[in-house]
Amino acid sequence: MSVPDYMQCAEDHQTLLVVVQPVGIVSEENFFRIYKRICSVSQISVRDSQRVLYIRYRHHYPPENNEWGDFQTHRKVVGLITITDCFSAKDWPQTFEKFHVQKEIYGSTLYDSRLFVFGLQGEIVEQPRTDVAFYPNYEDCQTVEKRIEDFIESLFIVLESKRLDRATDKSGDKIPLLCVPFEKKDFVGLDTDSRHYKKRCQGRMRKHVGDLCLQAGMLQDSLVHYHMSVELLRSVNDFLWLGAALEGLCSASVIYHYPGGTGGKSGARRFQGSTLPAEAANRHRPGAQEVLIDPGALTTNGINPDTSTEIGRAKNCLSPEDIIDKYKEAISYYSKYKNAGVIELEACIKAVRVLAIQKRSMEASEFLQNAVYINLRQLSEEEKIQRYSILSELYELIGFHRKSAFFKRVAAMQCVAPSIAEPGWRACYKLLLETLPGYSLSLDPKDFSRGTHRGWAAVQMRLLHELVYASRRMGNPALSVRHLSFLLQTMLDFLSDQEKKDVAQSLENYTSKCPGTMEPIALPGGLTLPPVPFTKLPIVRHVKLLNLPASLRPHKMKSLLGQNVSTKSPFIYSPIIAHNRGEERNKKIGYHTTVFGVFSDCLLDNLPGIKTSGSTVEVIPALPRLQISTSLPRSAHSLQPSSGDEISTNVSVQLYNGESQQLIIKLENIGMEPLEKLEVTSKVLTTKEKLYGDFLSWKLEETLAQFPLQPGKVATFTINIKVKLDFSCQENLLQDLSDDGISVSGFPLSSPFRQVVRPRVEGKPVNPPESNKAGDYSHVKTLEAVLNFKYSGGPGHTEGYYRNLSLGLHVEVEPSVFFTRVSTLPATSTRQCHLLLDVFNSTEHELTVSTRSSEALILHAGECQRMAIQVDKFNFESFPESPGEKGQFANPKQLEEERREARGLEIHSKLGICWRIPSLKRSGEASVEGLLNQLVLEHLQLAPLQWDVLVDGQPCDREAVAACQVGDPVRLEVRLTNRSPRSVGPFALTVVPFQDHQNGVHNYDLHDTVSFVGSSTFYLDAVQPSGQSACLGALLFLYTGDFFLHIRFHEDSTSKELPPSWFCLPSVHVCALEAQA
Amino acid sequence: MAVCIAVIAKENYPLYIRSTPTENELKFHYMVHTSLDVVDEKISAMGKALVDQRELYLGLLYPTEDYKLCRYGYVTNSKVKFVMVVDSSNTALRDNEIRSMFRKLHNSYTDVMCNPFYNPGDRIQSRAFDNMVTSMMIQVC
Repeated sequence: MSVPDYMQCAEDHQTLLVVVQPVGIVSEENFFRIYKRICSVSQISVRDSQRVLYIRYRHHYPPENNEWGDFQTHRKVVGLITITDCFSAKDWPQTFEKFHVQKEIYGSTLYDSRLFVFGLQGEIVEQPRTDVAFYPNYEDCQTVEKRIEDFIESLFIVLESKRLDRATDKSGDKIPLLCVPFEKKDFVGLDTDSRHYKKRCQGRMRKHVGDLCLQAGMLQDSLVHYHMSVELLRSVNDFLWLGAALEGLCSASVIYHYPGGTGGKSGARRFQGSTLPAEAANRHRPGAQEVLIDPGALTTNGINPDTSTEIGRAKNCLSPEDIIDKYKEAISYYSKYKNAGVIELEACIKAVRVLAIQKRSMEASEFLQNAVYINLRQLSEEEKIQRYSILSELYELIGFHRKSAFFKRVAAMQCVAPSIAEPGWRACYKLLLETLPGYSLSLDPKDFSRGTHRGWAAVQMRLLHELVYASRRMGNPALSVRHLSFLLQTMLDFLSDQEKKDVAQSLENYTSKCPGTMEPIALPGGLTLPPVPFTKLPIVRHVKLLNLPASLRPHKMKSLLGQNVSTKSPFIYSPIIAHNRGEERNKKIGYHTTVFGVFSDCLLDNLPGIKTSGSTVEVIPALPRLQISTSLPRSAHSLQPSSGDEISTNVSVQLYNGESQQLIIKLENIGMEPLEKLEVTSKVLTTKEKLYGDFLSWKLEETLAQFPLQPGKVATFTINIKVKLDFSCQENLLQDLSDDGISVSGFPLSSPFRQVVRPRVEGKPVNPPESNKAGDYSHVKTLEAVLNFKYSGGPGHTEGYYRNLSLGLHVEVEPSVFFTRVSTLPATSTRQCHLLLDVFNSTEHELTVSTRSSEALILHAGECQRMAIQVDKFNFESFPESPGEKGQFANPKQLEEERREARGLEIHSKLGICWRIPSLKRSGEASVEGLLNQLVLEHLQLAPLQWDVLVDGQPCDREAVAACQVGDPVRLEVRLTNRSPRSVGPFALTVVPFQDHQNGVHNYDLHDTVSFVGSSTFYLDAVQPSGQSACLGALLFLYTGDFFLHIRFHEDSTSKELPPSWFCLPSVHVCALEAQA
Repeated sequence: MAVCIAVIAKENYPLYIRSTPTENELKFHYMVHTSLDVVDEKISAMGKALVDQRELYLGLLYPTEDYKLCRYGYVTNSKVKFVMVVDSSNTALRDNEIRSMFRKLHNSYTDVMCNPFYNPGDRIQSRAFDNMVTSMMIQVC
């Protein structure tokens, strides 16, 4: 006997061994289906439930073990059930023959046997047979259990008869000597008549009867028989059998004390491989034996008449303490016989199971230690694995988890021992996984993230290495990557530098084929390997939340009451809402890394080195995303730092002063939500340059017409950029055009007197160094502005959020033209005036300047020319005062400034000065706004006193020539309209006629040619504000000719306090013609 | 002769382990690790009696499977365990000798703990302790 049954337990002694085997070709699936059903019949009550029979089924049993059946009857195969397929009647005899052959194997010990035939139909089936059962197929076999019960009943009858037969064998007959196989030769030639021999026979037989009684469900009887046997055998020093008798005694006592069993449910155990009889262990509690089995429950029927009644029941049964002592004794006897190694080993295991229930781990470990030392023979690799696994299970059973893990690992290593042709890496891996708890290693990195390291790092590391290797050999690279990642992450502190290097290197090798993921890996055994984020590689020292880029940052629309708050609760502030907000805080914040090919999502909470007080990220509903692209090139310029806003994009453009350009902006919705709202605002960054006109202007309506903008759609938006900086020459470094060499283009000047206004202080150095000159006129000025696009849409919009995208605009303004000097000349008409502008072309190109009313003036690069523009005077006072009104509280200076600007704008629009660079095809405006000073403005302003001279009823002004006939008196009327806020006058006006000889000589001596009808002097009364007054006279021309009338104020009548320009009277040109006949 | 001396923290992880350099170190790791089962068992079995009696010596834990080595255990009041693997093949050590070795070990360990720069729970890196262990590993030879 050499094959130990590691599953043996003490209560197996009371079972009957039945072998169930297939005959012929039966599919494993079908066989085990039937086998399972057979196994379910493991307990049978016989004799009106007075006794219970326990059956142990095996589908495989070595016949050599059967030979030990006399030694311990539970080792004897007493029943055989064969299962076979048979589809035709002609195969039947052959099948039946096979059944007989099978019976022969266990023939000597069999009490009975059965054959289950599946598939056969016909007349053979009709014949009723006790030993054969026919079933049409594997589905239609409801009576299997009943058949088995009948079969067991028949076994019981045989057993009972044998028991009675042996038990009543009184000493009258000669008792045969029972012996184990290896003993047979020892007894050859022994004196069979000796007292010693007889005692030995008796003792062995008693023991045998005890076994039978135990099997037949007569516990108390068996105890008695065992006791008697022990007495007998001890006296003859028959140690092997004495051991067996003692073990029998132990078994019976165990069955008595622990009705729950010591090895779990035998039927189920075989399949599930479960080792921990949890329920059995639970049932054990101090004093259980008194409660569970009442000795009185055993009826008289259970006590055989021939047992010695003087031996009390309580005395027969061993106490739990004694059981262990007797086991020890029995094992010590067994150990004397080398051939009884299996018996000794099994006894050890049985004792360990009993001790496990008794929770006596130390003693159990001694038994196990002993079992480890028992050398049976050269074991096959498979047997070694089995042996180590069982040792591991038993250590687990007694709570020695580390020892258990140790043996399990040895078993795992045995699976892939070099001597094995086909290493079982899967089995090895599975066993290794089972050792994890023993090494207090969990494969969840979370368990390692906090506090000190748990467990024994050296052995844990070893185990992880083995797991990595096994999983790789299994052909599961994902698994080995996961284990290796785990090793690196959790054991980093324990790895030496070289080991770190090696592990990292192999990890990189593995991940090149199978990258590490963050997916949990489910193992077939139901275990799930959680992902291993590398929170230690790299080490995060400091974490700071950064705000989103400004363009993506959501803003809350300002409203009096939060929309959501008001709808959710009637309270402005409710603690419930505040609480809800807090709950959302468990949203995890982390980062993503790829290290050695392993992708990790590391959460900040799991970082060991960081003590964050918690970072809060408020998550709001989705908003659209706007991307803008412009027609202008992007610029590397960043705006002044003082701008405050974060600009996502900067564009730049170079323009000549006065030029305008369209900036086309493409708005693309690159988000997932429709863009519903858009607001555009602009902010011109403070600049020291004075800016005239609207720098940026746009019409949003056209763009908004394209809204809502669906994701992926593009809308365009146009912005007009107009740069109008000061056109005056600030430094005045340019040489003034001399008044003498005046070259005025435009109108021929015919002006009664000139008023040259020098805007600059004269006497400034006229010729600065040449080098400065060039630099000053190519001086580039910069304008910067920020365009803000506030947009919203989608669910974020309903929640009241928006985003703000800023576009920085950088405009470089190159000077185009300068007005180096401005002056005015009165025109012939009092309502008009000539504006003289010295225009300087500061570009490097030829440039033309034109006004609304004049042709273009061509200026070469760097050239300066004077141009005269005739302009109607302006009646500034008639401007609505509206801008001033709103500024009631503004200071007078501002008011004055505003008024001046308004005037400048008016003048500018009237003039419409444009420049053009033909070579570049660029053009723009030029504005005089900046260079009009008070003096010039006054000249350009209509005087509040408006004088009109009418000749012959015709208003006479400018170049218009009034014609009259010689000899006819010509009516002359001078009208005054007072627009000033004060009353003026009275005035005296004298009309002085003269002739212009066009050679610089004015002939005032015209007394003979012109005669006045009435006085040559007119008198005007005082004129009230907005009043009108007129005075009339007449002239008589005596000769033909061109006459001019100069109307002059009398020296004494002019009020000196009034500005002279108020008294600007037109000169009258009268042409006297020959009277028509 | 001691072939391996280990100090194990209350939470059952090694604070210090030294073995004869000639042998495979990992083997001793396994050996000491598995012997913790017995240590645990003995501690729980003794229960409160241990504290009262101040008996820290656990005696022979068990002989190893594969060699003539014996493991002895000792547990301090703070549940720090000392495990010593002794080669019993050439010299049979008496219980008293083992006991005195443990006492020396305990004293040295106490010195380590007294070091203000030592953080309880960290690996022991004291040179004095190291020297003492070295002396014990040769001494009884």
